[in-house]
Amino acid sequence: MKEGKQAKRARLRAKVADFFELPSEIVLDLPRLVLTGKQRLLIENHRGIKEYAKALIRLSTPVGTLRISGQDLEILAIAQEQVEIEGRIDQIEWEERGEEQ
Amino acid sequence: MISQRILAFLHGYVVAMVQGKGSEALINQAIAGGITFWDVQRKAPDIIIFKLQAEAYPRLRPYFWRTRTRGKILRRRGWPFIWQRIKRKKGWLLGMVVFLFTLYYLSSYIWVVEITGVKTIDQARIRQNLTELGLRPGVGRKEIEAKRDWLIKELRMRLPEAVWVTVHLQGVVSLVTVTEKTPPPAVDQAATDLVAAKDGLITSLIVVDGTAVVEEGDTVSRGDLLIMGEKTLRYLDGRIETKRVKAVGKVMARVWYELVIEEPLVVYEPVSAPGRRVVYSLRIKNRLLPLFAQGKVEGRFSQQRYGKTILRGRNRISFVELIKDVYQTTNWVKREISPENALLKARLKGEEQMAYLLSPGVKPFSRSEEWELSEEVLNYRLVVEVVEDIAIPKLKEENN
Repeated sequence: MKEGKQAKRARLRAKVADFFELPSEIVLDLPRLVLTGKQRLLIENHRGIKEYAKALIRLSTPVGTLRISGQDLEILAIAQEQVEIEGRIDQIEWEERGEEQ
Repeated sequence: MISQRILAFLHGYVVAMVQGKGSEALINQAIAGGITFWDVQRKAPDIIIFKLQAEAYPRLRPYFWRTRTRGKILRRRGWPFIWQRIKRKKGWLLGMVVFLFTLYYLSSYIWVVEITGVKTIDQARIRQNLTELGLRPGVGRKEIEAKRDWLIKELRMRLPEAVWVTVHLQGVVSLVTVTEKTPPPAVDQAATDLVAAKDGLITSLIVVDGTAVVEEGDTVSRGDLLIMGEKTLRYLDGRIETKRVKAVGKVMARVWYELVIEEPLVVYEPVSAPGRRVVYSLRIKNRLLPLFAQGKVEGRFSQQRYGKTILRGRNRISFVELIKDVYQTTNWVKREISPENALLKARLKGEEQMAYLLSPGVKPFSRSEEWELSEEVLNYRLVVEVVEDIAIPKLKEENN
């Protein structure tokens, strides 16, 4: 019931953002991903690191966990608002809610 | 990113490590607290190495405690730490300041005076003059800069053999460039005879100095004595004196030039036929490396080579060159030339060759030509008569 309310609220926010042509990542509190080739990924609006290894980085975001897999992955810089990852990025995927730990 | 790194260097940063199962949690809590990390590296399953501003490291302590991890500073980097180290080594700092000051102070003096462009003028003399004018090792640069124009002017007056003098200051070196005057060639006043340069028939004779040994109408051969470099002086008291002089005069003579040209009446010309082979090679200095070839050639062929210098800017001495050799099958075809055309060609060749034989400025007095046809060849003979001065000085070894 609670989830249903949240979903309705999110849909309403999306419509408002769309109507006023506002950036949805700000209005809807969504993460923004900028991928440069295969070697660099900038993620804005994250919630912290869940797992950090050379082959896998899991990041918490407002919409779920982002899973970045590849080789020689390294966090170039991390601050409250954004994180920049470098390495050979092979895959970026969202984890299903059930998979999240 | 570079600006961030420069800023970090100026403020000072630390390379630190966090060890423990909650190392990711430490970073999450710290960034939530406004701390920024960069170059975050996972070194082992429970070790993360990172960089952060030196002043932010103490703020990590509560997070270490909360996440049950341990932290350690591995290296301190940036200007504040360098400055601290320098301050601790006061003697070194003083030495560096003294060294820089001495370097600056000494670079304001001229320590080397270099003279270039001198061939015959004595360098010691130039150096002596420069010392007298104030340019010597140990003199201040500013002093020389102020009187540079005067110095050049004075030095030019003191060195009459020099046509140009310049003084350049390059750091602690004063470069004095002297360009010397080129003296005119010396006039040879030694006694010489005049001899015939060519065979000829003398038409007129003018003797300025010396004694003529030939006269108008004489036929002379190359090398014959024309005017002897000797003069007989008769004094009023009856005394006769013979004196060696440089013979001067003009001996005009009729000279004949003869040319014989053989012009073929039958020629064989190459005509390209089907069949062509192109070979590309690479020349590296003196070695030729064949790259690839295409096509086929049979029988007689002609060859043409085309070269292309690679990387012209970096390859000024033509070290590497791409070469294309074209081999073309060729058939030789017989072609007959009419006697009229052969004569025309022979005349043109004759004129061309005669222009090389005649002395500059000499115009033909008369000319005659004759030709005859033999088997497949036209023989052409051209005779040109000119009147020219044939007297030349006898070579010194011949004189003696």
